[in-house]
Amino acid sequence: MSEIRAVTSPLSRRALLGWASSALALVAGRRGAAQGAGARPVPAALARLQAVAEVTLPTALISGAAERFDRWMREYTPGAESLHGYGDATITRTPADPRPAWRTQLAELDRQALKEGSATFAALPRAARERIVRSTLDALPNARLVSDPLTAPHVIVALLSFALRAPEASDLAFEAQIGARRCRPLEASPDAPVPLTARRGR
Amino acid sequence: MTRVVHESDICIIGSGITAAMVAHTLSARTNARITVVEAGEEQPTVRDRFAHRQRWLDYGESPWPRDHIDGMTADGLQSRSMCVGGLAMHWGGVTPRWAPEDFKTKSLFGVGTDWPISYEELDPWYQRAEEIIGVAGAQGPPELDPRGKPFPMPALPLSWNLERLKVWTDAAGVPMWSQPSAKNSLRYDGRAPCCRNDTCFPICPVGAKYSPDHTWDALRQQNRITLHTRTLIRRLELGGGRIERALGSRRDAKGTPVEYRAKQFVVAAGYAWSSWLLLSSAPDGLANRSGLVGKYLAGHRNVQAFVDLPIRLMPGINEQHSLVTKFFMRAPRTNNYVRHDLRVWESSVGREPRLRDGEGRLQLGDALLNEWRSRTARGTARVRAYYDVIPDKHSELTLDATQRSPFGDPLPKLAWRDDPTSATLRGPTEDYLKKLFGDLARVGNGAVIRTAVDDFQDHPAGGCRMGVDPATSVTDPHGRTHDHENLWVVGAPQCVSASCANGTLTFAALALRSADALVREVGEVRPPAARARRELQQLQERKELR
Repeated sequence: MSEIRAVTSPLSRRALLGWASSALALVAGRRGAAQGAGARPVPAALARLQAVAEVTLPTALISGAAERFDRWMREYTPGAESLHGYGDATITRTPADPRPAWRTQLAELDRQALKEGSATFAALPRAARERIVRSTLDALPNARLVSDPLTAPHVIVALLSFALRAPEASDLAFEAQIGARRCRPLEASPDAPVPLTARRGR
Repeated sequence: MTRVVHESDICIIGSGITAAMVAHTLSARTNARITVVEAGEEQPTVRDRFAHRQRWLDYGESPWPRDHIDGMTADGLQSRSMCVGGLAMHWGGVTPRWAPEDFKTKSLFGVGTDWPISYEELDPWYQRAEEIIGVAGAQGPPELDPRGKPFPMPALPLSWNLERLKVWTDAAGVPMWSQPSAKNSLRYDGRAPCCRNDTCFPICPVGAKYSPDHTWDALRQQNRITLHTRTLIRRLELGGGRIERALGSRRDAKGTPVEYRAKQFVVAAGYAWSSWLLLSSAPDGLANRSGLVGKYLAGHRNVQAFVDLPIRLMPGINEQHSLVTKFFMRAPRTNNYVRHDLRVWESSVGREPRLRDGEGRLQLGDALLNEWRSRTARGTARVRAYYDVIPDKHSELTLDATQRSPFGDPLPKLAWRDDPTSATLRGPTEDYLKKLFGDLARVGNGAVIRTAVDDFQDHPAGGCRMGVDPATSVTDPHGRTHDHENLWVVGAPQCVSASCANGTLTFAALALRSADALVREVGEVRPPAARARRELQQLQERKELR
């Protein structure tokens, strides 16, 4: 209910409908496979995320990034107990739910698109989308990638931070199959990771 | 309310790594009935750890649910862990031995207090701890890294990154080798070998890193011990100079009172809760003729730096493994007392993706990737030194009447203090370490990116320091309290000082040494034939797998 309160008043009817469809998708996601195949439409929020991913992420990371981010977002539990390590006895909790603000920000992209003469952000040509994204990021004070996407000040930063913290992104940057945080044979650790080109060539 | 009474020969209070060492020894070599009492709860089994790890990776959630008790906390406490397995459920599995010099700082350097035992005396128990826990390690240069026998497992191999970093440290004249670790380099004691999941801290998802639950599971499976969870021991009571019973409360809705009667009581509740229990047990504290229960809390601080080097590295190959040296721990006497360890890791600092390039221009898409790639030709090393802090008598745990536990008992309050020598040397020591990191960077034609100093004292210990003189110590050199012949305090609290390297292996070795003294007290028995066969079988399995 708090999510509804966060988005109703300032939004257009279309944005509200878009949010409602993504909220329905959230419920559907939680209920898992109870829904029949093909019964779940692509929510507007997911389409917007996909449109953002296409103009912000490196080409090789675009495919599936929006879906992964959407699923990660849906499965988040605000207020869960965080890791408490050495040196501090304080018990901390995961941040407040960023999703209402992120949905508002996604809806705002549609409002920007309206000024460009498009019904939705996703329907804009790539160059126009990038212009809006750049202008949005430039307007953020100290916009930078964050290690914890949940603390991102904007959904664009969250999506980028989420996608670029994945081991696949790191492999792409280092052009090698490092496979960080994956189970890998210990005895292979002295070897140089295999170049990514070797995998492509197979 | 009816009090539930349990009787046994030995009552162990706490279920962390030192309690596990004591129970392991006593159950193998005596017929004593052993009851272990733990205030906290069971933790997820190895089977469930991948899922908990994933939630931690995805969202930062604690992978150890219910590993602490609401309301059981204190100012100055280093960790809230209070669960089956204790703090060693989420330790990093780093197991250096301390250096011979750590045990005689007064004789060699004129600072602190000599221990009543030497490194050489502790060596067999270090070895046994390494064998029980399962330590993979490389023998360093013998003059720096003395030991009686080889490690039970071959070292974790140096990763491609660490091999390259070792060329740099060799050029700087610092001999470094593979950090000994309680992580299996091969299948050991029924547990899987390490497969570089890179989350040793806080959670190993395959059980390759030792944690005390492995010992508890084995001992319970063999019906060698009884482990009571959710039971907080709140005080010990005397009868004729001996401890007669431990009184506590079940952490259920009613707080059902419980009583444990035993011939021997072993307090293995770590550096904080061990002293707390003794102080809570009598108006002036139990076993406190010296007035030193809770005093001389010890630890070490660290200084670390990230160094940019013209070496291509690939962060993520095995990022929690490191190079280590004892070169600076075995320092000769100088005018100013400075001893420290040194470790070197791969690091991704400075090699992460960025939204803006060096000129502040926004980078998106492939341009972002290209800018990221442009920074991967060089590498970053993380270097870190723990330096020895001499504990002050008033580095202490006291009871705080203004803060109460859920059962109404005063909670502990910890105040950390350096002794005057260490307080005076703190600034110069930290300056020296920063200069050392700068010098190392220059040898590698690199530069320090940034340095940081932790304010807290890590790997805390002390509070019931051991000694020969009952006027200046709480326990004898075996961990038996001077005041009560059937009360033992084992592990971290026994420490006279805390060296300048991770302490867990030393705590485990001290606990095993105490356990041997307990075996002599209780009476050693030959293991029953069945148990002997089982142990032989396990030994053969280990050899075959090598």
